[in-house]
Amino acid sequence: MATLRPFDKMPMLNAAALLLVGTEESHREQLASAMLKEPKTFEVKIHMAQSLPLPYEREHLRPRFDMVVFLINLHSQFSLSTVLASLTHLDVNFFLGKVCFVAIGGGQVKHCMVDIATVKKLADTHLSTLLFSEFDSEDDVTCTARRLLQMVQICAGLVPGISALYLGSFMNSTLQTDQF
Amino acid sequence: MEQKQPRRSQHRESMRNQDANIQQMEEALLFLKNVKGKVILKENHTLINHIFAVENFGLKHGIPPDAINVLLNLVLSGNLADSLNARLLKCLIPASEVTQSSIIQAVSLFCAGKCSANTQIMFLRWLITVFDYITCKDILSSFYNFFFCFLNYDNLCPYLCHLLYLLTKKDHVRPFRVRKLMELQNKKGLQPHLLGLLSIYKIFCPELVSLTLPSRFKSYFKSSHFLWRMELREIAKRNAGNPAGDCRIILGEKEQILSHSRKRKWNSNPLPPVHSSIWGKGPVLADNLVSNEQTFPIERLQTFPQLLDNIHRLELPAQMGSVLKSPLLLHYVNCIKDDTPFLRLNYWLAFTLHEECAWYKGNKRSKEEIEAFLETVANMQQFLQEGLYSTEGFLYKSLPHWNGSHQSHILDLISWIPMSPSSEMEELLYKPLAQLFISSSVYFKCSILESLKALLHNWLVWHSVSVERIHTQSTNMNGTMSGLLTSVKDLIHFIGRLSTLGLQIHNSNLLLHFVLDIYELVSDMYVKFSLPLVVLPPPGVFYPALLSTDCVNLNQLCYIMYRYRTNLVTAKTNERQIKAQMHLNIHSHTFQEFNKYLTAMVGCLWTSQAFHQDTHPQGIHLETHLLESSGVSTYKKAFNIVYHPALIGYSVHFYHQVFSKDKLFRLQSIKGRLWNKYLDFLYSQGLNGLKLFIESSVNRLASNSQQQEPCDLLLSKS
Repeated sequence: MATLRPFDKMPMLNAAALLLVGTEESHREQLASAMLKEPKTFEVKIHMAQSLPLPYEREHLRPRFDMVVFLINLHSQFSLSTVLASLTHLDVNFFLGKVCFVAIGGGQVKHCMVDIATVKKLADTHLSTLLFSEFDSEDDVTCTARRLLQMVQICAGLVPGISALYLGSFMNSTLQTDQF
Repeated sequence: MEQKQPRRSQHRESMRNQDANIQQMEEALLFLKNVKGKVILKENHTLINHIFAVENFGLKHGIPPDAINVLLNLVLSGNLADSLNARLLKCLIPASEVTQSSIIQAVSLFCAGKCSANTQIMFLRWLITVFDYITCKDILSSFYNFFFCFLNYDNLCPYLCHLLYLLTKKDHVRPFRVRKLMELQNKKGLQPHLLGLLSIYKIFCPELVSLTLPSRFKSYFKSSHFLWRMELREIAKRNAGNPAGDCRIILGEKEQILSHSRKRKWNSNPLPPVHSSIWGKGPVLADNLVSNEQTFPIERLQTFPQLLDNIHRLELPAQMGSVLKSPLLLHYVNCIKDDTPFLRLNYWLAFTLHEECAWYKGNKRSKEEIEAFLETVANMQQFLQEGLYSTEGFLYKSLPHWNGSHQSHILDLISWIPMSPSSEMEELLYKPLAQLFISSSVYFKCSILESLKALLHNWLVWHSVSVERIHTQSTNMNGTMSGLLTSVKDLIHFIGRLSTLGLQIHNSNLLLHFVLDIYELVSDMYVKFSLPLVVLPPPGVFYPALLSTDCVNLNQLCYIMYRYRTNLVTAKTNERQIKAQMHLNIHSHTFQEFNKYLTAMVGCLWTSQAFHQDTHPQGIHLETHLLESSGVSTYKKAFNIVYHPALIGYSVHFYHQVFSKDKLFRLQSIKGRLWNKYLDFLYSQGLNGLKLFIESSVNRLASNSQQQEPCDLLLSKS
């Protein structure tokens, strides 16, 4: 029942590891396969879990996670509460740009059980990126996968000179009017 | 022969039957015509027999126009019992058409209220059903107000709404009617039929109806309003002898478009073809309308002269969507002073974009359809040279959900967003776009920057047009001017930040090329667009471009710096000459910054002093001991146009041209007179930006002296 830490293992060469957390298995698999299908210059390892904490067994087999992606199905309250519970098992250092929330199904307002504003607030309080995605459209999943790959590449330190923390602070400062 | 016999007799039989039917019908009509005063149904066998005859005939052959007249009069006079009235109306299927006089009589009887409410309802349903067989709808539409007054009667209301829905033309939409409908709506709650009527009002005059209509209403009117459909169609077919001449097509189409299923509308055709209005399409009516002098049928509008000749007689189609693809109509919408067509177009577009193109809504539209439509909209805006607020609203709603699908089309739309205050733009455009920019590939980043450049360009063009207007009208618009300046400035700063980040992440010459493309536009704002604003590129753009390994980018940077210089010098001289004509917003900080950049650039290209002279806090200044530790012994002379990474290819090429192969390869020997020859060589290779820059910013005291000193622009605001 240990918390997940970003820096307690050695990184792999030219590879990034990603953890997908979410209650909907189909969503996780859809996203993971879309990410694996994309052409990329580095190796990506995707692990999936329904919720955190991860079981203690097999801990030694897991890579160092460069990024944790929480999938929130907006059509289910359970999905949100699971994510909320899981967040507590994550080390603080992850929130320096290595966490991303993906809200799924926000377009069909009729079926939404979770308010979009709630998710926005969640992402804001955790200083993390929030993506919206529709998983019933193949195109959108592919586009989301592409975005996540770009992000994980930076989180894994594969882009020289840029770190996840830098991106986060850039996002926050981008809307201030003073020039760089 | 034996087989033919029975058939012939059968035929004769049926003919005889028909004759008998006609005779019975005639007798019945004669009888019914003479009915005056109340008739009792009980035990009145003659009456019942005659009614039977009419029913028989009506359902088989349809009722001829004059008979319709008689029967309607009878029914609405209230002389018969309700049940008989209903039976008569139910069989009152017009054989060919319904004449004007019968409508006038019937409606006046209806208004007189002699018959019971049930009969009135039946009559309305009958009107709705035979709507397309009424020859002169203008007559019916002149009764509009009468029908409207009856809306107060609860039981008539749904049917009246349906009828009015079919009748409404643009002239009918008046504030008092809207008020009345809203009042009814408030009293009775959300009634589909009232919403239906309001929706068509809103389509015609969106500015009058402030109510937001529920976006997905399946159908406003019940199909049970129709008395008969199949029978009518059958009889129309039989009488016309031509199955294709189905008059109901007209009604069917209107429903399809407006009330019934929005899905079907899309599937059939997102952009309806141009029709002057639903009125002009009926086969019975076509001739009538063409001869009508008041409106010019839009279908016949083919050429620009035609548009000019008939501009006062055009009535826009009920479906604004058809305007999108017609340049002539767009001209018309654009130039007439009346705002309503524009409002209608915007309303329709906002609705359609939201309903059909919001891909994230889970609409099962095919990608091609959406993209084709978005492309049409983008082309339309390109044609109008203006972004519509409906597309703007659509973009703002969908940008947070945008992950890059329909990439080029959405970016096209973004480049036409109208200018608005920065605070709004930040929240609605910059924030989602920046998020997307961070997590996108280098090619996507290039497209985003390209679209932002187009956006800036459009803003600048709008500004220059409005400046002309200010000059001609000599109105004081200082307030809007300053708002505009901040908007433009913020956009440029936003672009600057995105570019800085993009170049940090990707270090790509392609991306740099796109970035410099933007700054080529930015550098010329003062001279080209007379915008009193000069914004320099951030160091995150300037230095990568200066030290770029690609000579195209370096050349472009030189050109940009040359344009900045021209702009600043012009601004300075203008400021001296015409005081306070246009308040100059260029801060002295800008001049200082420009001079710093210039020093760095001249140091880099000419004097080899870049690492010493650069005074910019984020520049490339290096301490002497660091330079010494690099191991380059002649570091004081080792970074100029000869050694610059982007130009070293040229210098080597030049060296081989000038010196024979067996001479020891020493680039240092390019100096003195050779330096000038080398410069000419560079210019001959098409590096015009470099030429312009060096000729303008480097003051060469003597053409053959070895050491030339740069001449900084001594421009600083006191």
